[in-house]
Amino acid sequence: MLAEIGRALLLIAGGDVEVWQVTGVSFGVSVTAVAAAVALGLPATYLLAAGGPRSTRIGLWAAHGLAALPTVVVGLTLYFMFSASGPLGWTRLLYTRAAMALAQLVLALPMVVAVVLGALHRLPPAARESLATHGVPWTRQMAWLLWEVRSAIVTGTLLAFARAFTELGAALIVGGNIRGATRTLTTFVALEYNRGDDARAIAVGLILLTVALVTNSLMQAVLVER
Amino acid sequence: MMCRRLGSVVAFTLCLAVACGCDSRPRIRLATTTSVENSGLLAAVLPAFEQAHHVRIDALPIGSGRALGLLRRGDAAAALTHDPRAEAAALEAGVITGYRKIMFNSFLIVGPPADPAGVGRASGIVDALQRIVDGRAQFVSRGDASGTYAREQELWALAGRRPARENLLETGQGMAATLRVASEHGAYTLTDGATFEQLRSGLALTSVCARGPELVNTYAIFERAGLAGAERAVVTALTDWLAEGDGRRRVAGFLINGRTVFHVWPAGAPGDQPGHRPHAR
Repeated sequence: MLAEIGRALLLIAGGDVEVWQVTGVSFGVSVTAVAAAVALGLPATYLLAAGGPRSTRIGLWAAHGLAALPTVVVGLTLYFMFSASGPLGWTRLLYTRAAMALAQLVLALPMVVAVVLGALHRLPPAARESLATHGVPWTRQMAWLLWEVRSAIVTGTLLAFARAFTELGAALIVGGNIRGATRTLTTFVALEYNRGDDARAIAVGLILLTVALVTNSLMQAVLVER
Repeated sequence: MMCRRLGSVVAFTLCLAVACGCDSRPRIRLATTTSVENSGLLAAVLPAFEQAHHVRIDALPIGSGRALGLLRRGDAAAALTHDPRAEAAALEAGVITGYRKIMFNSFLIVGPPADPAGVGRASGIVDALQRIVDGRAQFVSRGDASGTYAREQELWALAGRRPARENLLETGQGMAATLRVASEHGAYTLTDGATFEQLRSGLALTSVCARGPELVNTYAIFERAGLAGAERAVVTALTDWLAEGDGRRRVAGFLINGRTVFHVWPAGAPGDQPGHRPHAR
């Protein structure tokens, strides 16, 4: 085991081209998915909160439920939709990075909505009412309220990234682990384990671990504590 | 202001997603049994074809059963599998065409070096399997839709008996994971020769039965029925390249630990039907 870890560190130090290409794919897909989740999730969250206590409650209930969506079920569902004989087969998106980003978007969106909506829900109602009575346009209201819960937005984004970046089930099913195209860090680890190349499995696993931990803790430090 | 910023984020995201799906070369999807990818064979031979024909072959290593399923659903253009029975059924159903055997090797029964069931002294595969059952030895099975599992089922039928429930472990995983489980448990299992050769240094397993016509493992390439145009041309070129062109030479030259693990199909031997074998019996 120690020998394998040593060989793994050598592999990383040696700068394996494929490992870095795969890291790039992983990062690109997950950042795309999370950016889309934030872009869609924030207005949706605001609308749910602005709709009153009833829509807020339904939104919280749905977002928390969907945050537990099993990754393989998301993968399987998208697979059948995007398969050539499925309803969205004409898009030819199966086994592409776009399909993987879409699957991760489905996984990430509920995390963003659950955290941000919870924070909006906890804001004193007087704040929103005074904005409304002063005739402030809704886009300004949204910007102001979201700014009030900015630390929750950071938390939601980071949780969403953590979920997207480290998941294996959906990436494997809708991505297909195609070398040079849809191979990500997680599917790469699974593959190297299957090939019996323990040193490479550990090396890629270490990179996955490092990128995930460093990204999330650094972003938290930079965005929340400034 | 906020709206415009949001809009640009969405636009940027869409651009990224679209850019991700682009590559100037035409792409062909090849579904395969896991052993050809895990052994490194595809990575060793396909780039030469991709360069010569200016295409990209996207190999999906998902196992013979699912590879055939993918062709049936229209999600792959061609497949490379090693499950003659399932291939025969797909041919008969008109799902696949352009069938060509390209290489072969042997399945092996592997087990703990001490060989507690005495499988190494067996007279043949039927005797070997009967010794495993009668000796109450543990047997690890793939338990999935792989060509190896399909063969295992055929072999148990030949042996006329099966391991008792308590002696049978089904992993539901790939060959490498299954070999590891067998090694950890001191159990026997059926494996393809290439995967075993690749992993053997890390396994407490040894080959105890490797000969016999029942253990011949043949790999074939074929295309989805109804394939047309450029896709069809590429798949035909790939098949010819592997069966008789430069690819054949590259497969023959592919070694693991200095050993040949995939033997090319003998020149002149018929190989356009799933039932064909590399040598006349």
